[in-house]
Amino acid sequence: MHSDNNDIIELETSRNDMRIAWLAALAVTIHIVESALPSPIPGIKPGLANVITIAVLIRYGWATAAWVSILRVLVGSLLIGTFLSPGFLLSLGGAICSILILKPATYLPGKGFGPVGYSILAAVAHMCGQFTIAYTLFIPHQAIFNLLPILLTAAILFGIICGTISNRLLQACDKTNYETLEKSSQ
Amino acid sequence: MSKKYNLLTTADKMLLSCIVVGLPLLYFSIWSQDLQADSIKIWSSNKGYQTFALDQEQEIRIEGANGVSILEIHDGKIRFVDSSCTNKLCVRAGWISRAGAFVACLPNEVSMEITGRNGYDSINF
Repeated sequence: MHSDNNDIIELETSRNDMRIAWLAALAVTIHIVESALPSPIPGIKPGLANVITIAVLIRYGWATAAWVSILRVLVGSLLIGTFLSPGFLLSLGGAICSILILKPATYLPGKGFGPVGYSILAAVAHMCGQFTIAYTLFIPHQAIFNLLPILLTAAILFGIICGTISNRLLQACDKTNYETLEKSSQ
Repeated sequence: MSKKYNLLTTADKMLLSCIVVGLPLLYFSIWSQDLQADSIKIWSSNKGYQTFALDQEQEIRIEGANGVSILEIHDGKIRFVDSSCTNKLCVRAGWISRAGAFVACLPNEVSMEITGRNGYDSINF
């Protein structure tokens, strides 16, 4: 996005760009804090950064949520130092899958999904994406299918937890005077 | 703008009930796949893959990277009896008998896997 000024090329940032940057930064922070926590079983992580993605999806729509989610994976991996590592590929694949599944989910007629539904869908899609990548790229062995039910159970549980937190977050956002919050962030 | 966010919408509840039904089905369908263990596939860095029948009692000597690994087939089960490695994790893994079970001796670069086949002959899904 160039300005009309010929002398100086400057990037014009829209309100939405700023918002994406803010929210992505928030998600990245959660992502990094979470990466410091030890995981009991490889591949199972609460995915608390998804709380932000879901809240953003509900409040600002799919496009903003997609930006926040993908930026979170890219920036998060650069900061942790896992950029382009196998873990990064799994993370990116999972994020892309969950974003792709959320798109049709938003078209549901009626009241549609709430935070918990979106969160479960995202978590399950994330796990399926990761699993497919792990199977095709890293461990092409039948035996890992035995892990699939356990991994999906974990994904659903954490999906419910993240969705509930998202719900609380959205309620809290409603309670605060949202207009002043937006003004102060500019 | 104050919209009320209910914890669960109708769609959420439908999704949750799908999960309640689907997840046990998934466990059942994946964990109850009845593969009959019928042969044993041994891999070594020297010789590549070798296949043995699981119903023939025998002792197999495999040349690995550092020496000999001795495997024993007995009663439809197989184990590492000895291997030229230091920590003997492969020996301590003990007997394996189920299809898909896998034991490796990494230092000696020898691994074994029980391969199975479906109880059915010509049904695929």
